[in-house]
Amino acid sequence: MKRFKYADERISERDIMIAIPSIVIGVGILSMPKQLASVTIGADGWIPLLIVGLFAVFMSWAIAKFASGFEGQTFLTYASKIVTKPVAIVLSFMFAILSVFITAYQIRKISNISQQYLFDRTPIEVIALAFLLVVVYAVSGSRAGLFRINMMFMPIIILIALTLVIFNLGWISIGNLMPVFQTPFTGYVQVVKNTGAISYLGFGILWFYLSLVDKPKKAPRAAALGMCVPVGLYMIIFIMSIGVFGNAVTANLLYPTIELAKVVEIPGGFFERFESVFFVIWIMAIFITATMAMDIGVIALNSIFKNTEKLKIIFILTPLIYLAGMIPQDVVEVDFLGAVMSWMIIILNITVLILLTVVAKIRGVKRNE
Amino acid sequence: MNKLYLILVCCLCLLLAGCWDEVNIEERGFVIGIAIDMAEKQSGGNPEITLTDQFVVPAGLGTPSEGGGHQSSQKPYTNLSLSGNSLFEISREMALIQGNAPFYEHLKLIVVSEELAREPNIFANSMDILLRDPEMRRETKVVISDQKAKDILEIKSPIESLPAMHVETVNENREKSGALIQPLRIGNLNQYMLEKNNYLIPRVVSVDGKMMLKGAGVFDGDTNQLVDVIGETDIVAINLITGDFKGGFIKFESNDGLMIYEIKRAKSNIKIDTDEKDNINIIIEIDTEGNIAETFGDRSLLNKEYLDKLDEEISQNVERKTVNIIKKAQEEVGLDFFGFSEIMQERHYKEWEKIKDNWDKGEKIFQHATIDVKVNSNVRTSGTTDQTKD
Repeated sequence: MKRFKYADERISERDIMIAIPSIVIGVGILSMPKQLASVTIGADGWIPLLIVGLFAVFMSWAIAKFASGFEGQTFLTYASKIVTKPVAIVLSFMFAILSVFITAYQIRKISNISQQYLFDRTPIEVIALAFLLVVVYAVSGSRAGLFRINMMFMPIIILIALTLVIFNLGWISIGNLMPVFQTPFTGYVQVVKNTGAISYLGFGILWFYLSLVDKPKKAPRAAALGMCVPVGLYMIIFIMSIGVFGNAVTANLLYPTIELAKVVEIPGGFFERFESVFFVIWIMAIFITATMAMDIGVIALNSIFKNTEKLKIIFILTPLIYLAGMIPQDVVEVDFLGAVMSWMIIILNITVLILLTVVAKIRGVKRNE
Repeated sequence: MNKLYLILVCCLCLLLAGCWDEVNIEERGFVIGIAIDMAEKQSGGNPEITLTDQFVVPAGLGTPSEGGGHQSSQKPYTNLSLSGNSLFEISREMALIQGNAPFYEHLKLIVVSEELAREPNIFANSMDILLRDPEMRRETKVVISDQKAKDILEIKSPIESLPAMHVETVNENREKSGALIQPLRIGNLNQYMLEKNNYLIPRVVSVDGKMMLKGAGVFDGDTNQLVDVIGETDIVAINLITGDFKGGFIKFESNDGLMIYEIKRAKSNIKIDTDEKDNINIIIEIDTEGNIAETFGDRSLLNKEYLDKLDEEISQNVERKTVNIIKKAQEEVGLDFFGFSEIMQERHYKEWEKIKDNWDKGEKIFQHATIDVKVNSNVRTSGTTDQTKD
């Protein structure tokens, strides 16, 4: 079979800027307002959302800054230089495993949601398989093609999110947003413990994708800017759902963001089911998240097993992802998987960042700046 | 190689042709309104509920070219009632009778009978599936009815072909009549039930075989039970107090006979002083402006002193009305349905946390609260003419 090949597999800084919101905006936003509202009072949830968000912005900047010092080198190459090859292989492997789990989690979650709202009688296994196969198709193609998909989907996703917000403005009642600043400190700790991390996952891609960027001078700025998009979007969506539903209801709805889409009634009565459009677009958002996560897994493994073909790695990963996604038995277990996974990812990213920076300083590994 | 492709394409056809969730649109039983009653026969144990679904019969609606379909001989809807313990169970049983399974995605109206709403727990329990089911929307309106709820769904509307749509149409007249409260969406009901605030549900009555929105039922936010029913004059006062007044009128007797003051704009400002726990002070300031819409007197209105006098009389009238309903709430009903509790929750959170269990329950702080009403009314104009007779 002949495959179409793009001229080169290089990407620009702008691609990085779009890749960050593309991977971050996924299934997390659908249930995020519930998790925040259940442990905060009124609309106070925006505070931890902003603080954790700023931390995520900083992390993206820091990772991009570090990685851009090793222009054109893969994660495995520069990590080997700094902390010896065996350690670098272990780290790459961990990134690969976690990427597999992100893909699995995204696929499982969207299957659950779409079964609940769209396909009442279609088994979850079938939805997940169909979704996974499309993801696999995208991953097995060109990497630069992935970034082109991002660039095409991202404006549509932002547009639909803003439409959601605009059509809900009429339902907001200001009273729902009060009282302000009444959440006790323990509440915020709870937020960070339960949920803080899950919604901003994805800056880990920078370790791998920056090696594709030609002159990554401005990459740190681009990555940080990219991270600001989900931070702003999350805050708007959260305040929206508190304003429309009130804290108590938001804390009880499973997917407040979808319910927001169901509230939309375009005046005149000619368009009632906005959620159908919203679903279509949001499945695109989840598709690019899952695709990039899987692609990271493939890059990481490919750098370890240099002689293995990319397609072979994909075909080995696919059943593993499918199985991992099908392990949780109910909603609670799916959320548990998500929580454990997100903490592992946060810890891994922070550890790798600190480890590499410190060791590089101590051993005096040169960065080609 | 070509043969391989051919086989693959054939396999794809098999894979792509099937859809688990395919339902032809003719096979859907679109439900536009539902009514919930207590069943006639109670078997003991769990209470029996009667659910009535109003199915749309598209053939009866006719095509737009026929002019709304009133010429059509067929009724545009059928109502189906069944009894049982669980609404879900009843709904699934309906599929066996109706042939088309009920489809609730376009549900517009839920009518609950007062009889059922007065029973403890049943009202909140029967709302559960209407909120839980992914097919349901949070925009559906809820009303109560003074008689059997299923009879309401039988009343023919003069302008709408479906009885369930009539309530929606009537609600559009909130700007004309102050006696309509804001329609209650089931999503908001859910909020009241979760936050345990008392609430009002609009009430539908049948007058000479016609459907009419009249008054509202007062619900206890704690037990979700209908406690009392208030009439339309009180609704005007409540709307003025809560500031949710979209337009309406005040009828009052001046020295020169009956007069109607049409309120064009009204706003209220509620200040709650929570310093002393035992003596909560609530000050309500109401500002209205409008014009004289009708007068039976024959003197000139365009006189500064006279207008000031009218302002004064109207203010007193409004004040009397609002004080009456507040008194009724404090003394007869014993429940705060003006939303004072919500205001305290929002503006005085710390103090509210201390008194929330004793607001209208327990020590009943609400009943001893001092509530003052200050009204400032303004007559802006007298319509197109000054005097119509001399």
